[in-house]
Amino acid sequence: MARILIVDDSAISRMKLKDIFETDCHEVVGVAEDGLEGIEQFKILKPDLVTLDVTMPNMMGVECLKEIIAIDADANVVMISALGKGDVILDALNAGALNYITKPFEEKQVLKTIREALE
Amino acid sequence: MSETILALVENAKVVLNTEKSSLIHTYFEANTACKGIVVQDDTGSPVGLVMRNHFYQKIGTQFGYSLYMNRSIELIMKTEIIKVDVTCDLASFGLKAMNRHENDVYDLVIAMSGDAFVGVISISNFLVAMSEIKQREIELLNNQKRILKEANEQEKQYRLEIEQKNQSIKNLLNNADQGFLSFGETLIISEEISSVSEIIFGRSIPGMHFGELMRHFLRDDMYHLLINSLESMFKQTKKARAKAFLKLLPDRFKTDHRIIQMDYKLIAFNEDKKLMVILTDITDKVTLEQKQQDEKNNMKLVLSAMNNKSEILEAIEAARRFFSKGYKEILATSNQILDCLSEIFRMVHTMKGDFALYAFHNTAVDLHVIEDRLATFLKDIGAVETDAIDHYLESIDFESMIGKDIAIIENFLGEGYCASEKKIAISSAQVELLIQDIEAHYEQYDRAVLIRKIRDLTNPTLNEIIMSYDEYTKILALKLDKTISAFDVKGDLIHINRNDYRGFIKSLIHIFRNIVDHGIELPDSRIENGKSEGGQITCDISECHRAIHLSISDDGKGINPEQIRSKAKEKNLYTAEACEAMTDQEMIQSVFKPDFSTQNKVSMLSGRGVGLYAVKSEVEALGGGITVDSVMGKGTTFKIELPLVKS
Repeated sequence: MARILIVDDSAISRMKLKDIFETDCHEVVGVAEDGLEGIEQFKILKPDLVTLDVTMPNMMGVECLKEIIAIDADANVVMISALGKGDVILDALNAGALNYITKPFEEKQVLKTIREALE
Repeated sequence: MSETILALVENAKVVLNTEKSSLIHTYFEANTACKGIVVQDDTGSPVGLVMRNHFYQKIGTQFGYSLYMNRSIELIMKTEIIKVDVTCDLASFGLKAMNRHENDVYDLVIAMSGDAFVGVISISNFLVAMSEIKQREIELLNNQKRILKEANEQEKQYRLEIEQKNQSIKNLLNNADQGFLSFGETLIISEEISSVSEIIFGRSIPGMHFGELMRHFLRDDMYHLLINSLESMFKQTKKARAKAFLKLLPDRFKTDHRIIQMDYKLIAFNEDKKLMVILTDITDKVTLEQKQQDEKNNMKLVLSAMNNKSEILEAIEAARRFFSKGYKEILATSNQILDCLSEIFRMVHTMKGDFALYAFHNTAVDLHVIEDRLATFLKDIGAVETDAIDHYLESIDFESMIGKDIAIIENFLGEGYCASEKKIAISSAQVELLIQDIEAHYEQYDRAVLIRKIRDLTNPTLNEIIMSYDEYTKILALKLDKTISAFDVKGDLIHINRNDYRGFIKSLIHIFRNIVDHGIELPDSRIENGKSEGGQITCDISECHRAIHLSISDDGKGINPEQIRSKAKEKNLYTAEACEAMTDQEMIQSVFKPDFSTQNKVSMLSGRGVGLYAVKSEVEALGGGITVDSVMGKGTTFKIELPLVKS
């Protein structure tokens, strides 16, 4: 069981992810609607894992990721992205993201990725 | 053999050389196991040896007893004795012992430690010890030999097994339908590849750079992503992280005639990282799937073509007009380029919706591409010249675009689908002539009844017209993973002349798109909110005071006034004060404003901010009105009032 922070500007994505995590007995300790809020929440909550949407208002996911890694180099971050954003994902992985999930989500795929990231 | 003789030294009886032989005799008699006695001089140095056998041989001769018994030992003792130092090794001792003179082959050797006498060594004991040592050595050697032999055989066996395995893997690889190749950090493809890989690439690939090999088959951006991802992947120290990079690699590519799927497997991660690529020819599978999808689309198209012929022919004619001169007329107006382009964009968007509704799949896809291109013009409107738009639209060959779908229809329904339109036009003219005849020849009452009956024959009811959106709406929902469980049309049966309401009827597509896209929730969240899995759409039609009242309701999530408010602010639809002053009910009417859309993403369905404005325009053009009511969580109702046109 892990403490998870969800950072996503889409309410539907947040809800879906929360559902999926909670059915797998993880605890969603916080949700944030954009990158800036995500960083604030990260500092306060110190979650075990962050899911981070790539495209968000105020601060794009990769920028947000870099800030989080600057705060805690060992932070576990999994990116969430629409299909066809390979370049951005590659940047994110090189910047320290552990893995990524593509939208639309598939429950099994999400849980598999999260478990691998937490191992 | 570096062992010394020390272990073989035994104590021995020692007598002085001045003693008499009788002493020897007494000793031998008392100690029957004693084989020999050492004789010393008065300095303690051994000077001779009396062996039992030799002693009794001498004594036993004819005069032996009297010659030796009571006389000095020196007469009977052997003086040719062998002395060895205890540090002597067994091999040298053996040599010395074997080199005894053949007349002096007695058994005992005198053992010295420096100048001091320490004892005797029995040569026969020495030989026994030697043979025991030899025996042990032989056993050891045999043992080693056996181990060596076993090891050899084991190794042979292993080698055989490995060879067999390699061979069977190679056979497997070569006989599988899949191709295999692998490479390490240098991306140079290893020698071990399966023959299928070479068939796929049509060349010999070992020693080639994987990136260079793939470059011919990938778009530039995919090629760069491949190279960069592989570079990063090989740097990873954790397998899970490396795997994350693997997901970025292309999963298929096309050769001249085949579609190849690529799967990746990390092998030997720890020392020398290697990546195996598994190539599967999925051409047949993809072709079959595509064929099935095409057939489904074709059937839908043909059914639609039979049911909506006149509308379809009119839509084609309108589109043809647009692409031949319609857009030029718009561009030629004195309006600003933004307005012209917006108008063109709106028209293409509506056209796409129409053709999608009529199952003109190929045409709709092509129009989507055109719409995308126009959207990029719109985005960059400051830098766009009218000529560029004109030039782009001029390049579009509408006849070949629509030709693909027409060919499918004519394949099923016979040639002349488009050509036979004139017959229908004539027959409706004939209807008009008939009505004119009736008007001229019948009394007023009969005339009204007859004309009404004829009109009803050619005029469908509004219920039927709206019902034609049923399938479209449900298919749309499926594309979004949603379900529509009921599409009900109820109320008064009102016959209308399609021509009078044509624009309005077409514009209704935007309402149904909005309901499916924005109103109806995904099945999971519906169930969570205590609703049935599938959405319900209800259309209610009534006639009152020569007006048609049409309400279209869904039981979806409703419109969030706050979301509309913030969107309205963002788009500067009203002044800030007006925005705050508006009630929620007033605010949600903003959905009918031009360029209003709460959806950020642009899909093939809706979200380009064109939709509901088009409905409002059509309704108002007829002299009617449209409003929307919504309760968050419960659903939304569009209320439309239209004048009843009596031709």
